[in-house]
Amino acid sequence: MLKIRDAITLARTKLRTRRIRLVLSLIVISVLCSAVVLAFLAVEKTSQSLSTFSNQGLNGRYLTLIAGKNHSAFEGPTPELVARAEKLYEERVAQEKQIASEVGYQYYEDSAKKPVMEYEDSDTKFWNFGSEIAVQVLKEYSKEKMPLLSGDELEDLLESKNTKSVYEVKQLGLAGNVSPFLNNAKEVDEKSSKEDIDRSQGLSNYLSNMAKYDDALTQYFISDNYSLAENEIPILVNYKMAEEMLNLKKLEKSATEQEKYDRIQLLRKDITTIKQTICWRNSEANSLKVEAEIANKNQHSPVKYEFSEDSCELPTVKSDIRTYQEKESERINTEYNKRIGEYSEPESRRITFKAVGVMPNAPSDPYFDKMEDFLKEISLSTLDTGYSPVIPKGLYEKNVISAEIRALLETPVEYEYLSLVTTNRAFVAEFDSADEMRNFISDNNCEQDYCGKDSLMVEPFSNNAAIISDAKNYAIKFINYAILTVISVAILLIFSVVNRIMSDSRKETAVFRAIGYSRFEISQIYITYVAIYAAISAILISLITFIAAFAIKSAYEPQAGMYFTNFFALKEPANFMIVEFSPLVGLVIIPIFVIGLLAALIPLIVNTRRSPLKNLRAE
Amino acid sequence: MIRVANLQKSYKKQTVLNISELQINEAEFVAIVGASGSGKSTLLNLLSGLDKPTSGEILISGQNISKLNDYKLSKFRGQKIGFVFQFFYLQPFLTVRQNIEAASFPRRLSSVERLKRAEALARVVGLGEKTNDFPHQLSGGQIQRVAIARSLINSPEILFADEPTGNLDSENSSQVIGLLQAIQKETGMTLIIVTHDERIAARADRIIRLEDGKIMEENNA
Repeated sequence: MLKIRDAITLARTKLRTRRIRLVLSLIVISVLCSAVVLAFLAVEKTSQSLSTFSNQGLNGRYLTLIAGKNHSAFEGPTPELVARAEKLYEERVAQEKQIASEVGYQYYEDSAKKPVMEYEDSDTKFWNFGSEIAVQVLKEYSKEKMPLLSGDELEDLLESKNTKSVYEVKQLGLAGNVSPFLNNAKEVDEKSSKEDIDRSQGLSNYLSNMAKYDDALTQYFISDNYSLAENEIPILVNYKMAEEMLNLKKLEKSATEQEKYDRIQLLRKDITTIKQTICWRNSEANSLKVEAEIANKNQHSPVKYEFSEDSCELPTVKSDIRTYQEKESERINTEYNKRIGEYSEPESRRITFKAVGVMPNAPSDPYFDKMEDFLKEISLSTLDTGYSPVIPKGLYEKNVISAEIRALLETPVEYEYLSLVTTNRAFVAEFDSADEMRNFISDNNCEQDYCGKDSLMVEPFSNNAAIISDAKNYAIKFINYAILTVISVAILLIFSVVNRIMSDSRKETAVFRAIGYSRFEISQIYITYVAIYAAISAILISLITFIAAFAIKSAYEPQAGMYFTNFFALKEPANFMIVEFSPLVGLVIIPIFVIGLLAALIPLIVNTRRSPLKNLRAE
Repeated sequence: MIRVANLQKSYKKQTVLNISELQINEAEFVAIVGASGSGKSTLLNLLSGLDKPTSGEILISGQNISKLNDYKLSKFRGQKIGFVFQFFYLQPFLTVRQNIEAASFPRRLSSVERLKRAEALARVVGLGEKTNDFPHQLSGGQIQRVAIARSLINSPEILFADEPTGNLDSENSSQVIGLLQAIQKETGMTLIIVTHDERIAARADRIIRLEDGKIMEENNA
């Protein structure tokens, strides 16, 4: 066996042969290995940074939204359903006639209320969806055929499932008309500007529906300096609504991340000064208001109304010059409609919403025109849907709010007429890991229209921490495939180089054998050559990786921290490291040496087994 | 020292060498001559252990080298045998001294000992001032001297030379053969040269003449 120094002396002579092939293979292997090493370092460091960013608010939590499955009640006009509807209609007509007779109302059958109609030129029947009876019959049929869970049943069902925690989400809303007081002063009227009308409409839509979330989900978004007075409904609003409420001009698209961060801090601080009052009116109060306005404009109107200073109060009759019969006719009409359930007393009420915090905007484009929206869709932690504010449950329940206002908010809103929504309650379940969450979704989500009474709609909530954790796993899998590819390329290249050098050195090998070198000692020369090759590669790889890592850090890390601070809606800015160079990269010499040995194995075996005489004779 | 008995070498059923008996004594200078294809290089390769006979025995200092495995044969060659080739085969990227030393690497001598031997041999072959030169800086004759020095660093008992002057002009040829002869006389090693040059053969103690793979004649020069 040769001494290591002697093997190095002889191996170094090989470095001077086939230099172009040697240099090219070194460059290719070094660049490929550097790319893989850099990717690995980047994935590791970025994941670490993301973990730091993902431990605030809802970031990094494995949450799913669970609601009872809803479906449409539609069914064709079968003979049984038509018979049932027509029977109910006849009963209803009989009842209305009876009531009309009792109150002295002149009854006329309203054919628009018939549940089933026929086409003029055929016997084909069809549902009249404008008829309450048609909708009632269809809903009853559907509930019987495809029953669904109530809110309590849903809650009981979830208790039997294995979850870490369950938080309630309750849909609240204001049935009726919502009219905001702009700048807390005045409702819009016909003299208002288009801008004010649009703004009022926007606020009205925004404040008509809201969702009440458990504190475990809302706490992060509540500003430290909030305050609440009696009868104020606490709400969290998105950044966009907060800017409108604070009369702040939107930032330019070219705004820096620092400017965005500063704006968000401003919103967090100043939003707690904002309250928004609305006037809620039921449909009768709204009709009365419209009727009063028209009557007051019409000089021939026998009834004139007086409006209070507070526009939310109901207008009162100022003068009424109608005859006794006219008044009596109206009274009978009203009485009749009350008795058949189609009339309520007009009601209106002021309701004040007080902002207690802000939350990031939901992604703007659900169809992912932009990569950033897609990333936000999968990673953003917010309770915002874009359409309504969020009520923090704890603040709402602790605050002193009148029973009437609570009743108004908590009365379930009727949805589209055929939609069988049986409850306004949903739940958010939390899990400890992506796998648990994923398994829960696949075990419990009903993907068809109906899966039985226990049908559940289960989907990731607020952010998809599972996708983020999967992204790292996919990145590592990809890197593993890249490593295999690079190993294959390295084996081929090193094989090519070593094989060529050994072929070129056949006469030299023969001479060494003649003067007393054994096969192993000849192999030692080339094994040492591979070790030198690996060392040079490791140095090049370390150098390239260091330079590339330095370039990436310099170019991107300064902005990355603030970008991800805003992206993940952190309260304090944090540093985001993309990649970090480690001297341990030099250990890449070991796998390259092993790969080199593998690559050199066949040429070594083949060439050392050749007869020295054959080598001497080779051209 | 070297004894051969019933030595045969065949290639694809054709016998190229057939020697029933041959003996070469210690410290003898033997020239093997013959026309091209007579089997002289084949005989040299068999005697030096570079090739294996088809049948027969080759005994060197009592050791039957035809029975040794490749590793033992390599070691045997390294310790007992020196070899000089027609085409020199020096390492182009090693200096004269390193080329000489390279032959001793398997023996794992100390650096000091190795250096001492290489410097001494370089002086013996008249290249004491050129130990740091590279082969491309030397003439053909000088390169062959380096090859001779290399073959002697392990103090072999037998030196084989296959057409050592084949690539040299007559003046260098004469000098190289003279050098070999001088070293042989001084060290008492056995020198066996294959040559087609009768003038060189004439300087040997014994000439073995081959024809068609057989010994036609053996006589003292």
